[in-house]
Amino acid sequence: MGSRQNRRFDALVLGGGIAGLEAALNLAEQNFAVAVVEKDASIGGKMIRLSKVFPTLDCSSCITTPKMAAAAHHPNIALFTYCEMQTLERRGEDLVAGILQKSRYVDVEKCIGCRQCEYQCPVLVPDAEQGGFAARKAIYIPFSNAIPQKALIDTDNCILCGRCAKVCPTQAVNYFEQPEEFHLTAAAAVIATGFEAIPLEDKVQYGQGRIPNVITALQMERLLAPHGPYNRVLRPYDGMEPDSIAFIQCAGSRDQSLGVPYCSRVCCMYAIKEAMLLSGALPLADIAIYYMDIRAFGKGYEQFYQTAQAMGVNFVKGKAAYLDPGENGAVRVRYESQEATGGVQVAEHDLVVLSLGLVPAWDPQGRCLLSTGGDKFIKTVKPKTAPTLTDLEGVFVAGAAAGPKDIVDSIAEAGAAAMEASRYLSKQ
Amino acid sequence: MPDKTVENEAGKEALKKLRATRKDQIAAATSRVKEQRREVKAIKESLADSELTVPELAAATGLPVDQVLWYVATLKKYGEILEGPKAGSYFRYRLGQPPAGEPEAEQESTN
Repeated sequence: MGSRQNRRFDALVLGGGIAGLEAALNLAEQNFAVAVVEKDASIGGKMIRLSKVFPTLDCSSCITTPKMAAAAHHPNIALFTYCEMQTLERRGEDLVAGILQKSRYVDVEKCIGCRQCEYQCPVLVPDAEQGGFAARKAIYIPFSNAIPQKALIDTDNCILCGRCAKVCPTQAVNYFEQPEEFHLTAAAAVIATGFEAIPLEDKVQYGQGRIPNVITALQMERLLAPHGPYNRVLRPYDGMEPDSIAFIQCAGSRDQSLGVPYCSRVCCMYAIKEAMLLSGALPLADIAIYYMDIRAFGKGYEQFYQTAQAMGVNFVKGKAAYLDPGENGAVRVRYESQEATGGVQVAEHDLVVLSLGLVPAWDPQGRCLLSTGGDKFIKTVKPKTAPTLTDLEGVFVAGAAAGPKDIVDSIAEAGAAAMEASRYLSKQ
Repeated sequence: MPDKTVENEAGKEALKKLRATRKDQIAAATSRVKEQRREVKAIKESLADSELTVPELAAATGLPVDQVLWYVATLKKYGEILEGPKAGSYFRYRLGQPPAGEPEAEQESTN
């Protein structure tokens, strides 16, 4: 754990998701001192929030947790969680990052992660880590395998009743903690800030999040996860086990009206993966995927697609135009069929999953001189021959920060970015 | 930073001042907590002598069905509600025991 002081490192990694951790571990193994700056209260990024990964169907947290633990325990890595990088500027041979340590209101050196504070807290708050389908408390540890296992207080919902402070066995709660600014200096940096899903509210035709039982693919990941909100797949509207589930592909991607003309590359495969997991969890359920094209380009992906077809997943070629609420929590899908019958068709499903596309999670504008492309992802100056190079000397990019990509490509690119950074550092 | 634990006098005074600066947030959150307590109490009372599905609980308490499921998922997480057998497409739920050290929600006071 890094102390909040101005410190010098060889390399700075912005983002503690799978790409950032992979880059940090690669550099640390080469004896470079690395600082990982993560905006969330835990490292692990999107991957730790997934149920399983395609096309191997390996347990996602089983793969991610060892990487998180390896980074947390590595003698050459310092983690700075719940921190925002506000500025990054070059001063001679140094890169200087201005960091804001957000207030946890819990002393991380004292907190032992016992959760006594959480049990005592009387306030229930929708838990974003569970897709909003269950509650957390106003003082909480983000999720069960979070690293660090340290509590934090959500001041928007805290009623300052004092119960958490009284019950804490190590007196770790500090209601008066203030945000703290400090600097980290390094010679090289790797930007691994990842992605966010396109906001559900942006698509009027799909109900803007207001139609019951229309959920996002990341919410479905939580329903499928063993430690999800219901510990099984239920409709969030009424707790019914759904008999008919549909996936809407290209929900936001390849959509000029949302300013996202590009293909997000992972939606076809994650929808197929979730459909396969659903057929295991709910063997009698009908599962349909409404798609324009299936893009199964990676190693083993085409076979994965064919296996899903063989398992009975119904692939419906057609673009979903509108979603409407139906009877008893059902969702009506109005789509333009591109199959033999053609024309506008209407189908009803118990639960609809939107395969939302990917947009960048971080905008460098106003923080540093890194350029972005027309898609707003970090611009790479040699996309064919050196895809991790940015237009800022000594700053490299890895993973979905440079554009939508899957876990395999993110890890490969993180290794490449670490090697570029290593080569750069060796020349210093 | 001076030691400001809630146990000593200086800490209590500082906490009072902090409460004053966050007055509006605390009032809104406290109002939500009171409503949550009423709703949780209604759900627990309905489950006192029967196992019910989420729609049955919604009918018994008069709460929106999705809100009942949210509470059920939360209380299940903290061990206060247990999942029972399936009834058609729904699962039944019954009361469980809260984890050691966790007070009953209705016994708590805010300030």
